[in-house]
Amino acid sequence: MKASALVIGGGPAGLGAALKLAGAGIKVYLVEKEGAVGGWGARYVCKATDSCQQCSACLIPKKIQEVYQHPLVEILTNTQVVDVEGEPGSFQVRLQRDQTLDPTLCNACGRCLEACPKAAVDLLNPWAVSYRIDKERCKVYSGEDCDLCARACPTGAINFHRPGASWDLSVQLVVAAIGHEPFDARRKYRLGYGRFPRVITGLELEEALNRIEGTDIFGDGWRPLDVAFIQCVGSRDVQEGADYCSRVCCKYALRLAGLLRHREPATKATFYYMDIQTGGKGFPEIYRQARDDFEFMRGIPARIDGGDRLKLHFDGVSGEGFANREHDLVVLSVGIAPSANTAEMARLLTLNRDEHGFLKGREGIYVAGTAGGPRDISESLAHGMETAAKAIIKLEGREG
Amino acid sequence: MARWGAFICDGTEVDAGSLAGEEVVVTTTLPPQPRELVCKLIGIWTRFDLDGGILIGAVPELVEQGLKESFRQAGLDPFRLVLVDLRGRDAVGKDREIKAALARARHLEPVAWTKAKAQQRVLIIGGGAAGLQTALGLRKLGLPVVIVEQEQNLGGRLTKLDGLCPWDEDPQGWIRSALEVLQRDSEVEILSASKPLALKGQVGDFTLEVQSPAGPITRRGGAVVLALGSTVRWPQSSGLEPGPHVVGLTRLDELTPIRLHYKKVAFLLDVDGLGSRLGTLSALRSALRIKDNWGSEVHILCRNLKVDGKPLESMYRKARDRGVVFFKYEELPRATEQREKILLQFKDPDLDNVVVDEAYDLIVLEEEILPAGEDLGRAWGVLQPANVHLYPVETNRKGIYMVGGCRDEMDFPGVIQDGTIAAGEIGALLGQGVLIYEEDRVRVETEKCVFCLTCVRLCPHQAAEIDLVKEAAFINPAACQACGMCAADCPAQAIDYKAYDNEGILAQLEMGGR
Amino acid sequence: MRIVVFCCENSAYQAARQVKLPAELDLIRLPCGGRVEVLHMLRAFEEGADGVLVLTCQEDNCQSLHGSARARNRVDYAREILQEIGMDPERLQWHPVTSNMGPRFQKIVADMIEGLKASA
Repeated sequence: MKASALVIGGGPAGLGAALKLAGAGIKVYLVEKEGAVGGWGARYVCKATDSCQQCSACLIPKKIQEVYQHPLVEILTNTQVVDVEGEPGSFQVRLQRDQTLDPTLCNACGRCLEACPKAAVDLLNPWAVSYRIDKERCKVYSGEDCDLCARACPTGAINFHRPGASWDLSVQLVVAAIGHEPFDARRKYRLGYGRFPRVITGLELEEALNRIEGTDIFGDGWRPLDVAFIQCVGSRDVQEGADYCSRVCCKYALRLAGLLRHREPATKATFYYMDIQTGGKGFPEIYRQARDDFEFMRGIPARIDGGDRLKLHFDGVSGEGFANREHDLVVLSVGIAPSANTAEMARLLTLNRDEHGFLKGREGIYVAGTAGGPRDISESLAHGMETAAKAIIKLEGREG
Repeated sequence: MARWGAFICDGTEVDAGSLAGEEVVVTTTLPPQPRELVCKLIGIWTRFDLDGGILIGAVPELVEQGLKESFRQAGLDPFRLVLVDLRGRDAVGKDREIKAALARARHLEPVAWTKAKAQQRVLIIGGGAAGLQTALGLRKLGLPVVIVEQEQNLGGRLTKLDGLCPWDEDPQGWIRSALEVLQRDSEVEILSASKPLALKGQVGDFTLEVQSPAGPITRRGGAVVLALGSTVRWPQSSGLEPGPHVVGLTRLDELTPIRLHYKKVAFLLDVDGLGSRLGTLSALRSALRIKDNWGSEVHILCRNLKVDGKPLESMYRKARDRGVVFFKYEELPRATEQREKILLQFKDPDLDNVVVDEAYDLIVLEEEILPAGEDLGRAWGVLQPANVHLYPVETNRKGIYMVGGCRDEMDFPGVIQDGTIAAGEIGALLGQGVLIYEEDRVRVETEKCVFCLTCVRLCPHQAAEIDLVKEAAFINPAACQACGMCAADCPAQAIDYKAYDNEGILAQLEMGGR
Repeated sequence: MRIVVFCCENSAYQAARQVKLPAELDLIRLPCGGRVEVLHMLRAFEEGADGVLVLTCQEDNCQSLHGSARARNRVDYAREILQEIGMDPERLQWHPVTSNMGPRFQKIVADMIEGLKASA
């Protein structure tokens, strides 16, 4: 019998690994805890201006299609790994699936969506093949009685009383591509996130620009014209235990500023930074363009306050140009932190974590993508591919 | 009269009755789930002996590949099966999609698949770390390799400097053990002091001409890996020239044996504003070593310190803790020579832009890193522009890969990653020893072809060739990547792309118009 | 009204499938922007299209490297022809739409419909 593999996580790294493993004839179980594959990558906006900015967000739909099309990849959404036993070459894995919404019955007709009073049923991303129930918004999960969506569903796909399914798999190898968590900007209380509506994270700006054309990011007709990007929020920060560079924030911030300006040419942007990271093929040109278009100020504000105009305060810098900096939108370029369930996964898979909390692989269990450290979309895809290649070489490898 | 089927996925709300007509002999509703759908579809297709059909669904693309594969396995040809995606369409829109699909399906022709034997040997150009890692991976997957290296010794730039890898790895040691493994492997042929000349053929069967010390030889292989490495260039804009007090970062090691007493040393990074991770890594490593070994005072000057790689931020902190001083500059420091020292004058924005004057015994300048072997790539029509679809190791040509420093500035782990990925890709491509492709996806009507070479110039995948016997263009089906550009641009209209031929496209236009 | 949209299946076609589409739209799926010919665009008008869109990848993001650039050049050429025969060249437009840009697809189509209504 041919080998089989478990890939945990359907983000870019998981997709990349699953495709390459399947390409080598290995049966792949791709487990995703959310209702659809794609991960964070599926929520990002295309940052192209008149030219491609090489953010790679456009690769995600293609990869999703490829995994769905591959006969050897079985996609298990709403599913979690609850137990792993065994040794390299022979792991027994227990999976658990929430079957409230059975994706094998859902045909995405959308009636549940119309019926829900809380807009708690939606497609996680545009490539989701079935709906999902957002447990934070759904009344049932906050203890109320409601079954409007279940009654509206013509195929019986939604049933709040259906028990979850649990079953076992045997696999030769495991790829942990559990992804990351954006740094929680609330931890930086003095930067005002969560207190001032016009202090937002880079991720929120991404998602807003992905929903709409133009720059009406709050949907209230107001358009930001003078934007501050604060770099290294939750990166290179010893206090937060994050004394590493998150690798992606300079890139996404410069690209998002470029996109804002492309959509609204009057937009001004200022970057408050320590060091801009210019590495990566094609990125130097993007940086050069940004130097011409935007203002760069070395230094991270210590405190932000104010209302419609936000005031940035700097500690210990008396230099010219730093007094009374004001902007009408502040974007915090939040970094990459280990995923919330990293500790849990480390325990389940008996993996060690590095000094920053990211997972480290071991024999038979590989770590791919941001689960192992900061990476952007294309780097995560490539890391998934590398991981798969390593696993295949190990599995089929002849000692040279 | 052709017999058609219309297959409607449950949930699309298309009225099956409205589709029945003289040609459509069967309409049926199918479950949306791939596996059941495929079984039922094939059953009906066989039972009614259909010539073609349309599959109407919400996301039919997701089952397309699996469906076609299942058809092939069942001995059927699904060439005239068109998938209709109704997402986002209202009733009128659905009708338009379905009509256009029927129009398109009528013009489709069977696909002829070719199974061609593929060479399994892999031709690796360049014996540096990237080439060696690719070779190691390929050998473990059982594919034989030929490594062509211009120099006498393998190992590339890694043998000359050790700043390229993280703190705890030993690149020379890595090279030594890699070579040991490869040199005693009978399926590895190493052609050193050899120059690659011409490359002919296509994926599955390339022929490489090599100028070896023993004279010209040829080698055949199914895939080609360009691992040409990188070179460095002295940044002219620095205004500095190499001399007793100025040295390039990659040549710093050559100074070590001289044991000159440089009391104060400056690393000048980022001269063109685009310094590399590799340069920062090398500078941090060397700065610490100079501090330890020579006891010198060390400054590092840069515009932006590159810390976006695993050991960089922690190495930067370590260097700072150990007393290495970091300065930032916006404008390139002014350098003047002054009694056996070089004086650098610059403004640091972190220091309120006060002018800093420092005299150094030695300036270590970060060179620019450039990809090597671009001429060779150009001569062979191999391109790897900054295009996300080719990332990381693919090129415009099928079966030709680019790894390591010749595709991007990268550190040792990056090189290893590239080599591993390339080995995996090639293993999947050639592992079975056969290539399967569409035989006549693009057809050339030889009598219409006027030999203008437009297609040869245009084809982004180097698939258009000249058939001297037929005196006409020939689109190599193995190398073709199905874009259809040749068909669109042929001035004599001699080329047609079967699945997207003019008639089919025009038929869709007509259908919607009625 | 009838709008014909020639879509590269790697980019604009994917984007189209993420959003609600107006009824008057005909999507013609092509393997690459580089496949579209001037003949196709002009025939679309002959077949009653009020507007024709050629939507492909970003020029430097084309999987066939210069397919999008070719498409754009051909649209420019076809627009010249429209001008010569006295038709409004704005009825034929090229735009880049990447695969994850559903809203952009929607806006381009909506803008064209609005433009056509305004000039009618």
